[in-house]
Amino acid sequence: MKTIRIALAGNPNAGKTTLFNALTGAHHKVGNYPGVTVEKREGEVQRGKTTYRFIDLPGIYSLTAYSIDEVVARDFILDEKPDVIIDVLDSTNLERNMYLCLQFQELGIPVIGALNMSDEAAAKGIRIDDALLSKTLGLPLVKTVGSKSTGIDALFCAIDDATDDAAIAKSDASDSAQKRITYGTEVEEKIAAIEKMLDSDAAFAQKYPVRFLAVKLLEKDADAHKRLEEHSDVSSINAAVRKATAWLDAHFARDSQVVISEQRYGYIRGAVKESVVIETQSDFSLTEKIDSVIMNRFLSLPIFLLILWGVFKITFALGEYPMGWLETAFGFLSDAVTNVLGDTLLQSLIVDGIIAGVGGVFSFIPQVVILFVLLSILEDTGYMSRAAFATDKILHAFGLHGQSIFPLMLGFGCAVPAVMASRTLKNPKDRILTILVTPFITCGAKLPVHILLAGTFFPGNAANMLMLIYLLGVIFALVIAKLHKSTILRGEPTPFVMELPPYRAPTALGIWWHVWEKTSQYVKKAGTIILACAVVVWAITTFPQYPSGEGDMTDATEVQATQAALEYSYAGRAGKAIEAVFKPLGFNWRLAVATITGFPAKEVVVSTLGILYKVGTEEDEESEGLREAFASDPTMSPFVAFIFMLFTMIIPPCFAALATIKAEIGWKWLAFEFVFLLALGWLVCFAVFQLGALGGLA
Amino acid sequence: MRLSDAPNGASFLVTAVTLGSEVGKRLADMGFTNGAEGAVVRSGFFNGVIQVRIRGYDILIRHYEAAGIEVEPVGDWSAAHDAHQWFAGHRRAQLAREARLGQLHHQHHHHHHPRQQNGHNQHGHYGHHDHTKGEEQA
Repeated sequence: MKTIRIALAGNPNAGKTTLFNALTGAHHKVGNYPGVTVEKREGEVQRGKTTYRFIDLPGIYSLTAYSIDEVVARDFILDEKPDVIIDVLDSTNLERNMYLCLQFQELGIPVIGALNMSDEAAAKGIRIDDALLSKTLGLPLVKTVGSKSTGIDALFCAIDDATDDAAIAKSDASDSAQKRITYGTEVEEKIAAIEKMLDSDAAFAQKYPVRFLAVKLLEKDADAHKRLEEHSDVSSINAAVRKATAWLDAHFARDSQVVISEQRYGYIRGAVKESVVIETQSDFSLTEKIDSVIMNRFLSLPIFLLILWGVFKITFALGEYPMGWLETAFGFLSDAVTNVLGDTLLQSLIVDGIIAGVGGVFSFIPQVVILFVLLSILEDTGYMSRAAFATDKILHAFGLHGQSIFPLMLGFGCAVPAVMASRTLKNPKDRILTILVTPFITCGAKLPVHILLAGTFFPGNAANMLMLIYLLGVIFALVIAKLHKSTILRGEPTPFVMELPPYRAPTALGIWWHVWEKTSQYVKKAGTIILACAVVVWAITTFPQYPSGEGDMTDATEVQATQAALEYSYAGRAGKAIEAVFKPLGFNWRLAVATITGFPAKEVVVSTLGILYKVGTEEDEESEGLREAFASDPTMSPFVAFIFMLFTMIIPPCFAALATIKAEIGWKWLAFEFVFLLALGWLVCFAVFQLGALGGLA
Repeated sequence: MRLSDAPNGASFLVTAVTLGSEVGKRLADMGFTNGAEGAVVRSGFFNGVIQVRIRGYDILIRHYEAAGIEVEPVGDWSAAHDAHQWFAGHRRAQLAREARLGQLHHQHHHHHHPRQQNGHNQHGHYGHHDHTKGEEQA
């Protein structure tokens, strides 16, 4: 019984995840790499007496890491040392894909090349002589088609061969062991000298592939230099590396890091020339036809906005039905619980607390799922790179990056996956900036608050008010980005280097996988944080209980009784106590309480208002009773309602989003973001309310 | 000539990446190395992102990165299809002017770079090309 650990690596867009799914079937689990929130996908397959454990690494272009995804992949390979690396190669784009492969070959770990999407290559007239290429590169190659599970058995055989000790011993003897690139006499001399110095520390040489590190040092790789610190003789090696790179710079009249890239591409060109024949001219026709419209310099931005609008339209139109069903289901559940338990404290906890709180979030899952399905389709077809192309100029003007567009779009669904998606941004400042402005984007959880207020106070114009608040969110995100960029996050604009993949049909499995990942984050939040908050909100609105039988309450209506009970509760007392803080914004104590209870999760604002205005068990934004009670409150007005919407849009996001921000950029930024958003929300609403009051609006 | 000078549809051979540091390395990793042939497919509005075809695939870079890639024209750039589109006259005149100005043509493009207008923090993580410094001092 043995276990083989196989890392699945390769360029982005090479079909790595599809091949991973084909290799592992449904048997995989998702975890996180330690310290970062990059998902780690693992899957195990049992075949005969061997367990194959596959690890799907994030897509990378080079082992000189550039984004966090790439750092994670490189660290995994260097620190965890898988037994085999399968390099997934896009057969339609071999030259650039081989570039990474050459670096893998220097690691001293067996490498297998999977010539993936070989059907697409064949259709494009790219004929690959895999036997010859395999011989030239000294590397087993297997033709695969991930989406059709072609070549899977051959891959398993290749893994067996690569890890079978007897076979390795034999191949070593026959001198056809894994080859690797030679960089030409001058560079090789320098590599050999540094290799020898690295070898002097036996423990270090044991831990790291010495040749790989020597090459990376000449490539001026920052991480290689960091790892070098562990060597017992750092200073003299550093001096030798500096001398070598200076010599190479002078000798080749360009940067040594570029010289090594050139050598690699030269080597690939040689290998490919012999074994790859392109029969027809490289065919970009369909992609090219679509792009000539979608990426037209004048049309690209309007088309992007049109697509965004369409995504919303579909999300809301389709999401309405399942949302109604879920609400009905939770209503039945509440009634059932009430029937069984009667009018007890436990019933109140379950119905008013848990079902109202958690149910409110769950009823938004259909819309969130639909939104994520649509965005995943855009992502998998390759449209997102086009969106970055269309929006970069504008985002750049506000200090953001074209690649910020995907996180920001996800923000319309849920800030949690949106914040996580920002890790494709290479520059830490860009990442921080994107994360800091993501909360302004109106997410699925803030939507019910806006629907309630817009529907109640702007009956004829609810849809326009919603549009306005969405638009204000985007404007705030842009303006605040510009503000941060010119103050705390000042710095050079970051480079924009992004592959533009051809359009590909999305696969159902791929979409399902994306949607599942993002939705599960949303559901997890509903199951944990919101559940806890719902119970807390219930407790502070229930206790201390109003002393029964006290004088003049006997002839009061039920509604009056509950309102009195609420004012008597902790929530009511707290609301009155902090009313002074919210008075300058025009908010009454009920809005103050709703703001406080809405901190953990924005949906709770609606259920809190429901409880505060009319003992609501299943209050939601469509509830007529709540709307009537709400609208007839003399302290409320359309103007105050608008300010409350504005306030909800600006103040810090839910706990789940805050926790994600902390995980991505740390406590310091989280604290800053929290205080900043709170202060900004208060100040903006204060200014708007006072100006409005002057103008006689309030 | 720099890649940023190439009109849409122009073919080129890369001679060198003059951007230093991480970006330069990434561009080289992505295939912009001496002798690589490529073409400008299209560019976004107002000198925005440029779509470049290199080593058989497409990549998006900004005008700034393109200005850090030295290229050699393949074929007649003034006959590239961009020269017959909007502002074609302007574009042709510009190319002609640049050809006349020879070495000085670098400075002509400088006002397209917001960085050099802002002028702050010139020691960021970008490498400099010599003409950037020259412009700063001028």
